[in-house]
Amino acid sequence: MVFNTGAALLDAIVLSIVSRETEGTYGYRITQEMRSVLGVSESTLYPVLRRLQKENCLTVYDREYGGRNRRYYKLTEQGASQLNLYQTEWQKYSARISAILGGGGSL
Amino acid sequence: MNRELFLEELERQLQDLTEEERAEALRYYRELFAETAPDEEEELLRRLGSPETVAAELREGLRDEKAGAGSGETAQGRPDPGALVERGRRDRRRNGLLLLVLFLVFGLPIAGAVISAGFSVAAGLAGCLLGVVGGLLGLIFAGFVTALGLFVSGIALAVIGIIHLASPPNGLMLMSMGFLMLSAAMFLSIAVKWGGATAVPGVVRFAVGLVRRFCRWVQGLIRRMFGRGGAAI
Repeated sequence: MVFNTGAALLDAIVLSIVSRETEGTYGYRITQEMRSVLGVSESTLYPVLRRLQKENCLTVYDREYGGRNRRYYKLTEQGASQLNLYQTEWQKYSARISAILGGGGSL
Repeated sequence: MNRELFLEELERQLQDLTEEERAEALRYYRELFAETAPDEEEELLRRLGSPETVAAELREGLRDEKAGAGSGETAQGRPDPGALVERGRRDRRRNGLLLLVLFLVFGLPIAGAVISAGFSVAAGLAGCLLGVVGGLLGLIFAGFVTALGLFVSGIALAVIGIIHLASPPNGLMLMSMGFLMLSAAMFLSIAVKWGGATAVPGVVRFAVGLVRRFCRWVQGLIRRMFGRGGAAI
């Protein structure tokens, strides 16, 4: 990873991943996605999840699977509007960076 | 290193966290391992690193979370709440310092007078409380002595009364007065016991509670002035 991913961007990506399922998704799945998108480790993800919970953007619930309990993370209303905000911001931000960096392609 | 050893060591490393934080963190990692197939476990362990590393990262992440980490502002300058909290705290600290300087320059003489007035009020109140307690103790002592006296004379009168039962009216009268005194003595001793066991300790506890609440209020004032914010927002 060449560019450092700040906390806000991490939050945005996690919210986006969780938003794809109406029922939310579980921790391990989120880490897998994060790793494939950003290459960040599981340990990087944990504080992000905690923070989003504390800020009431995510809510958690447990569901049984294969005899064990899985913790699911789900988007709250506030999380959804926060994600919206991040998406708009990203459009503008990435457009400006692309303009100045050039190099074409979508970021 | 296998998953059990890892989790055990991680739990040990996280002893400095609160029970809730530790339980949450361990649960997260335990679930990661639970989802990982045995042949991927080694890779996960390698990726996570040592329990010490993970614990250090956890602590840093939790600390940032409490202090309101964030890149400060998003692209359009809308600050994230974490940065606002941080800035708020910094501003308050600066205000606290400014206040302190003003206070030193202008307020010292006034403050001196106010503080000594405050102390005299406090001393007066303390004196009051001591007086009340002393008075109560005095009452209790007096009650005790009186009860004793009544008890002795009660017995004496009763005895004399019994002896004089030969002349019934006098004897009976003396006897009944004697028994009356005895019952008064008993009543008084119950009152004394109540005073000693409940009233005085109650007053003392009340006074101590007042003092403690006052100290905490002063503490709160000082902390607010110097912007250390008290509980996390």
